[in-house]
Amino acid sequence: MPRDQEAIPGDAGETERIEAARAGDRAAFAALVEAYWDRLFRWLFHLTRDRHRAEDLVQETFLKALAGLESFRPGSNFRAWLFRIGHNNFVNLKRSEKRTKQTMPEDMAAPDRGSPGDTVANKEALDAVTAAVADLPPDFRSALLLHVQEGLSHREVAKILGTTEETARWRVFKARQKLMSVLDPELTPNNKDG
Amino acid sequence: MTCDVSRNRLLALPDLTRLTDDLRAHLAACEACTAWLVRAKQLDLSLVNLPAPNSDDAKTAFLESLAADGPIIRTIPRSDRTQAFSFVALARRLDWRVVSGLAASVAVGVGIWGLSGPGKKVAEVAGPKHELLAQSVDFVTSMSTATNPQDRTRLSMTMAGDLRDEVKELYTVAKAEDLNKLADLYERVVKRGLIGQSRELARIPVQERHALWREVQAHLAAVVQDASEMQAKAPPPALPSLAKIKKAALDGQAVVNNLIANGRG
Repeated sequence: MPRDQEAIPGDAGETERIEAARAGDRAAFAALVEAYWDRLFRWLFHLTRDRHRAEDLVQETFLKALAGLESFRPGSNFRAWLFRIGHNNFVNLKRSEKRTKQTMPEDMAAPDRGSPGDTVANKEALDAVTAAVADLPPDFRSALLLHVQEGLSHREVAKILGTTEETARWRVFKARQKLMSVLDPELTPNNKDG
Repeated sequence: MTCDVSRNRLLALPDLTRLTDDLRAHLAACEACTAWLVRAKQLDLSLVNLPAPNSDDAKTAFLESLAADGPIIRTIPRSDRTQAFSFVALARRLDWRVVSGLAASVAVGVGIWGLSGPGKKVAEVAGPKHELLAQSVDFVTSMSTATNPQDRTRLSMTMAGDLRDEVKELYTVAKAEDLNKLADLYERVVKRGLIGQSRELARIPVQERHALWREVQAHLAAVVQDASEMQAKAPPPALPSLAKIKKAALDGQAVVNNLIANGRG
């Protein structure tokens, strides 16, 4: 995953799809939705910890993106622009709900793709990671997942979260440090720290 | 370099596979930090694989709204939804236009519609006067408060069964368009409800999940059988609706069979 470089932009056809979508081609915009829905949903799900709020946020993000395509600068990073809208929506939601803590969702499903969760031990480790991630402060969780799951650079994470590159780097570092301190026994029960 | 410094520097790396020379030198001489790096990589792998629910139904609904003519309209305002309401797709589909359509289709079939002449208030007709409509309202209400996929699966199965029974009652006398509305509703309950929730069962205990999947299988098999029998006796205008119901049941069967066969169980 590229972490210290700008993320790889969308495929060659993405620019054309964006241009077509800007011209009002809904099929082109639908292709962009197809390309980014799942990753945006996954990120927002882990931020909200609520499937339905995440789905609403994703819809809202795409609707705002559709309405605001005129303001998108051709050639810049569409994914970062989209996630930035998603982040703003999430912040607005938090403000409106004034929610401080929410229980873990009951409708958590196993990932569709192959994962290390094939064994009981790995499943337990994954559950432990999920719980520990959920306990991270949202700003740190957000930065960490953008960096690790999306493979975004610290600079891109900073752009999306509206902060400085150093702050983004710090949040990712602290989030990882916190997770390692919490998860060490679950990750490798037989190892000891030296 | 101390181990603490080494680990903090590892955590600060943008990519754990791209080590600097001094870190590599420390790791070569320190088994503990090497083991720690392995765990850090495992953490990253776990983060990449963090589970998230399937959002395909919501995506499909949104894509459909994009493809449709006219403005893009979201049907469920967020303020109306609670955390427990996790049956997004069906709720989006089962809006009041559909329920009204169901009221109309059922009412025509049993003659209630005839009670509403011109000038009569809509409320007199649209109220839950018919058992199926009342069941539909109960269904939507129950689904909105159900807190687990087992309950939602059972509710969907009950609703699907009620619809199947209604079709069996009406298929020889109902207008084709009314029967089609029932078929549409059945298809949605199966696709968005029964199958959608069956997929969610993958995370409950194996024994319970298999038992429920088998119940769903049995329901769908019975519907296929019923639809085939009805097709043999139905008037031609009813055939497309019956075919739609049969196809929904067959498609559902395929998904459930796949769920069981693919080790989700």
